[in-house]
Amino acid sequence: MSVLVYTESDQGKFKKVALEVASYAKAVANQMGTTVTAVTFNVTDASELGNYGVDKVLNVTNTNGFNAKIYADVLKQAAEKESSKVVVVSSSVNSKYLAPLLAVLWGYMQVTLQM
Amino acid sequence: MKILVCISHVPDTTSKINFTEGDSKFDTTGVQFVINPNDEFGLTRAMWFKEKQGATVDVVNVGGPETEPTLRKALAIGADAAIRVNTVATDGFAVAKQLAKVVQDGGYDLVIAGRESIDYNGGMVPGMLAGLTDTNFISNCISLEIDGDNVKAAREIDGGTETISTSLPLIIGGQKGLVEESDLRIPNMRGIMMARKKPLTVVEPVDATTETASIKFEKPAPKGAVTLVSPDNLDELINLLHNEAKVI
Repeated sequence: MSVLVYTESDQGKFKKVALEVASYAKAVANQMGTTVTAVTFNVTDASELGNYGVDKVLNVTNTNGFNAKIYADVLKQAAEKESSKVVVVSSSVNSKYLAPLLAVLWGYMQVTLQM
Repeated sequence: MKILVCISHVPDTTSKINFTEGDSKFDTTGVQFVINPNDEFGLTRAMWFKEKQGATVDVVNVGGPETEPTLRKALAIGADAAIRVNTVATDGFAVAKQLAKVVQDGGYDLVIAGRESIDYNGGMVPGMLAGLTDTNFISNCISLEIDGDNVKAAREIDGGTETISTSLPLIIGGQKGLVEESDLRIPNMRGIMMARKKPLTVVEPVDATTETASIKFEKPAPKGAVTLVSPDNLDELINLLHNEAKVI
């Protein structure tokens, strides 16, 4: 029952916001007494996530750039595979694009946190 | 082309915000409500489609009778008809489910929703609506041109703009850029008079479970007093940051 986190990247490297949400997911996982699984797309080296509390990485390759529908579908499949109850995404423009689509696909509620 | 513009009924940004019932509810006493600014950009863009391409424009809101003046304002700006889904707007998912029924029943080609409302800033309704109706969707839309069923649009992305081609039917989460602030319309007297005669249909809600509840609202902490430090006195600045603010 891992906490799932979508870690955004650009040209194979993590964006700063990816590391921030990984840390937040770790804090949530600690509260729930579980682990963190990250979903990445086309990342060349995901080992950096280990420094931010990620226990497992699912790296999806050969995707052709950001597509909200496809990414939401991948996250839904990952959430089901990991029996996740919580998915953490950032408040970036792309994450705000895919989060509601994921909520509908997955049938779970979305909560937006403003920091 | 049949257009539906989703209108949120939100507090004016100059309103004083207070909470009631143990800080669990927004206190609407004395609050002036307006059309959500992101929706206003969308409504103006819809009016341009009406005037230049012969579109029809409906507006919709999920809310109680108290939201009708906001819908009437949208009619006064030029919308042809209004729909109010007669239920309290609770969470984003529940609102999206209500709007999905209106979209499906109305057979709209284009649905324009604001990127987010300025009250709760959830920013989830347009995307959920697209998911529920399995419709093409563009978030953070800042430009929209339609020729037949072909759509050319632009959306804001981190650090730039993405140009997109897609087709109708389409749902967008719109924002400033669809039109500029100087293009926004203020209802004139003729529009206000005409709005009284335009149809405002009240429809009953579909069954939609509310998945979340607000437990408590808190205002941001008031700003503290400002301490001015002379640019020549860096030692004092470091001392204050280290010992008082404890940020270094």
